[in-house]
Amino acid sequence: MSLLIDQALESWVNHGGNQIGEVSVWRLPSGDGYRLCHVSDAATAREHPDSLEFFSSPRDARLVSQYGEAGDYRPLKTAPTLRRGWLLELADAAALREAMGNLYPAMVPTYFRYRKDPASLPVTHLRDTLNRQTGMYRYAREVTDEQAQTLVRETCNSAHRCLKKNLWQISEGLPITSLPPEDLDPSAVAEGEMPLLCTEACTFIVSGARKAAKEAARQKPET
Amino acid sequence: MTSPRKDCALVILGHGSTENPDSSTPTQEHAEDLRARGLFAEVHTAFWKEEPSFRQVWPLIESPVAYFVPDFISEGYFTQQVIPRELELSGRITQHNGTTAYYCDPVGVHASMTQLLLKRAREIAGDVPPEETSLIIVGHGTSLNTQSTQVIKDQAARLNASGGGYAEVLDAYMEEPPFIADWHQMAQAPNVVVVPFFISDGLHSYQDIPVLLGIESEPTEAASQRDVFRENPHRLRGKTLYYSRAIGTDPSISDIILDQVTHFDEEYLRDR
Repeated sequence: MSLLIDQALESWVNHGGNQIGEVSVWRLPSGDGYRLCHVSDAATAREHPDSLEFFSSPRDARLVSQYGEAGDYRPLKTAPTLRRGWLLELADAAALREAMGNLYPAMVPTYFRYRKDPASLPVTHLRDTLNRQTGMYRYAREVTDEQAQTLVRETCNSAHRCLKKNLWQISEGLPITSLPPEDLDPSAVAEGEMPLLCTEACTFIVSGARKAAKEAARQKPET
Repeated sequence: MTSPRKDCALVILGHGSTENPDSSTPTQEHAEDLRARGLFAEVHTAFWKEEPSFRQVWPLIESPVAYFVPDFISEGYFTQQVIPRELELSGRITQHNGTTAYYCDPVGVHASMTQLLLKRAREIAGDVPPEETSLIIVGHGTSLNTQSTQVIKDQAARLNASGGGYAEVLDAYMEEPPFIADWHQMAQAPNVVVVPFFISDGLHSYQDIPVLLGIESEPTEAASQRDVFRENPHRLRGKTLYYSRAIGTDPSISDIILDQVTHFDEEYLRDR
């Protein structure tokens, strides 16, 4: 069974799509297969492809995305820290989808769902995420709105931490004010670039909220 | 033998880690293996602490039916509370925006885990007589859910009854008694084989437990960031200790995932 996502991805490349996160994507001139590399290696990939480390399997994309330049583990794949120096050649759209699933998990299907109908993509606001936590994360709900804004600024900014565009708010009607507007706007991308969309706060925000709430409780004077 | 389900999705659910790069590797590898076998229309992974998260997985699924198999070691806090909550599952069978979700048993409760434990123990300490060896199955243990330890107690009981020939088979835990840190006091035999009943060679089984055993004085780098995996045996505390890789790294777990799908059909769809 050919998946609809494969077809949408193939069509996206055919109609000028060329970048997903820090990855350049293009079709081989023969029309048979795709090549990917780090955006900063795009010129090298076309002029001196032999100077890059060559890979040919979607599984290799998982290894490429696992560690940064210094060998540091990248638990957040949408962090702006993808390593350079590699060239990945893939046979077809199914392999391209699988590779992108390793480089930017869930981002391609999420984008196509959004493009088809933004209202069909479930978005969960931060309070709803925090309020359902249990176990060690149950403290996360104690974070104040102000602390949450600070946490979002420190955890989500695209310059240093995460390339995703936040679609969620602190709570319904209480938008995020601590990020630059382009970090909240799916249309704020270069021509041919697929935006990476964040539909709900990730584990780093939940952990950060727990930490912030616990620290605030510790510093609170006893009454 | 599992028959193909070409109109179904398989989603393997793992814990993952923001600190250890090896935590999700077995789950990823089982998914790659099963994807290559072509038995399902699509095979996905989803994680508690990595991406895609449990919450992100629904937009990935195109098939009308999706089997969710937890690559978790026990029925407990994650399989009974966290996963159903995050995936919005209301029971074994849930309708979710046009997809029928089948929630299967976790891999760790499968009957063949007992044989897998024995195989792993023999692999690492094949040259020592079992009758002179204590076999310890070590798990996490948690105050959040009493069932988390039950699966390991059950395995120890089955191994004692299985005729594997070990002098004794014991269960021990990181965070509740009997503590694995006391392994040398609880084990009566001169040789001790410790098999971590964990999914991966991650934070707990590769970095924490070796410190509790005394193999390391402090947590090392992750397994994938070291040149060699540890070598057995270790002469420690008057015993000869063999420490295994986590049970969940065995490639045969892929077949257990398929078995849990088959088991789901037999158990919950027989009359449909």
